[in-house]
Amino acid sequence: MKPRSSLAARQRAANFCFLAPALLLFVIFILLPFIQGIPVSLTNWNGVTVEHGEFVGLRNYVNIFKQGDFNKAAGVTLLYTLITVTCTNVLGLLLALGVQRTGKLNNFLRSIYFMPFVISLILAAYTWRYLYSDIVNIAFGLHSPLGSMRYALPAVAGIAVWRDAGYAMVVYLAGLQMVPRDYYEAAEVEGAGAPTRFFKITLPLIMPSVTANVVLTLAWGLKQFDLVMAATGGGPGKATETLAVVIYKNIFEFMHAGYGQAAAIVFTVFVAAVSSAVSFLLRRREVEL
Amino acid sequence: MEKRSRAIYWLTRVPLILAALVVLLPFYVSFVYSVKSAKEIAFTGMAFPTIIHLENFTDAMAKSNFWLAMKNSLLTTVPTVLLLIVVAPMAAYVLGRNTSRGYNLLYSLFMAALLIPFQSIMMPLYSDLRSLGLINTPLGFVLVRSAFALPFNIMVITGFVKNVPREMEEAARIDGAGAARVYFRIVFPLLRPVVASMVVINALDAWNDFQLAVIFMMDKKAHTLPVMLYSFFGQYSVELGMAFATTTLSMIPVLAFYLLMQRHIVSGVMAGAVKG
Repeated sequence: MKPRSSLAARQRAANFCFLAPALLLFVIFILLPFIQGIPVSLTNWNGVTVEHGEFVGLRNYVNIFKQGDFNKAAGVTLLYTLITVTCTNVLGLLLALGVQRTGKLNNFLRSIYFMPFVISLILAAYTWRYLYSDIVNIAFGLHSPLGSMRYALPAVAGIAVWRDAGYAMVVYLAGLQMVPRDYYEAAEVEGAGAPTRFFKITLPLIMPSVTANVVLTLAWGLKQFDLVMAATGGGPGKATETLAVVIYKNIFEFMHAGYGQAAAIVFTVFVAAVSSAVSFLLRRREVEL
Repeated sequence: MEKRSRAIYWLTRVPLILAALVVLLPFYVSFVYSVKSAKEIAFTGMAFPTIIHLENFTDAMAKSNFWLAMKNSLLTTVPTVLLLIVVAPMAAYVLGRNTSRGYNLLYSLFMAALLIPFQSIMMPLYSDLRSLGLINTPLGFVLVRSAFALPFNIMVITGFVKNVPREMEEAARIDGAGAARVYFRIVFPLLRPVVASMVVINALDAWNDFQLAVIFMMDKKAHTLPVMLYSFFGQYSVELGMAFATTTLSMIPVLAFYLLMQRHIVSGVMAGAVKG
């Protein structure tokens, strides 16, 4: 028995060595800062001084809900997310359905649709900022929508949709490949039209891709930061100020580190709750092949 | 019936090609405007250029700190990718092969971290990195970026490991090979497809990162491309031709990467979406 147990012990030691680098990175740069953030959120620290401010209990958390900026930003974030998740997924699915048959032209179209996804959100934002201000102006004689209280948010969302629809398409294409051909043939024999085939066969069978895409685009939407910072900086007024941007500004611009950290923790709970709820609801609708 | 469906197929190509043109428009406009002088922009607008002017590019490079930012982007992206190649598959291998309670708990911890937004850790991280002297250094960025990418990498690679048969490893183990030898000689080569996918995804994510860089690489000398663009466009009201020259220049490396690596990027996206 002895050699066997020492073998198991050696295997365990090896496992530990294999896990150690990842664990070390994770604990030092994710877990520890996350825990360190909790006491900070209970102080009025400005983030700069050596002393970490005074203990203020839950006052920051109360202020988050009393002062309007967090609630306003939560509304902006949810609206932004609603627009981007819906448009990215509908467009992505339409594109995937359009180019699902392989062929030279379709492969070429796929490459083009996916192309915007590889450039950074910052690059996308600046390119579109000039497109909106100059091209839209020349072509339609309109001012940039990014400067309008009413249209700035949809205009920012439009940039995200332009960039991400190709991504959603790729995931939907993977899902569409999994649908067995003979299901469609059987349905056609039964006399089912194209809409019936889509809603009764395609959509239920690609639900895993829908879940994957919706959950991911939802997370991107709720956490949106780069695009807003580069396209509008949160303006005009606070029309495009998302939660991630408000938190950044509080911590690094207004020097309200304690308050900003409390807002960041509420934000974490908010993102986790919305993401888990949506993914739970969608998973229930998946069917087994 | 066959004829009709073929007609429908070609009819639906029309909106799809139009969609492709809309997608390409920003790239086209960036390019066209970047090679025109201010006068030509006023007169010829979006028409394809007849004479290529490169002044915009030379101006953009001179004013925007472009080459330094490019160097910093490489100095942060390449080590991040390399570090993740080493660290993530090793951990994912152990987590994919062992399902007892401790390992599962660890896996769940990584998966829970997927939900943590960067905002909740950025301020404490900033203090920590400052006291370690890692602010505005590639090393600081590499460590944080890798740690932040780790949960996603582990999720994807662990999923892959579970589908790799164990027979070869076990045979090697019976022949007396140690754990390191089994991993590097047998397991790692089998993981090559998923590692290749993660390499390109990690490279894109690190190259395009703004959230971390805008906080940890704020010094002008440490700017990566996205932060350079942010400070460049935030500082000056940039004239149109030069603005597009700057964006075009920044697009070239990543679009070249896309054209070369398209297959891997797409399979990386698919691998990541399997489990969501």
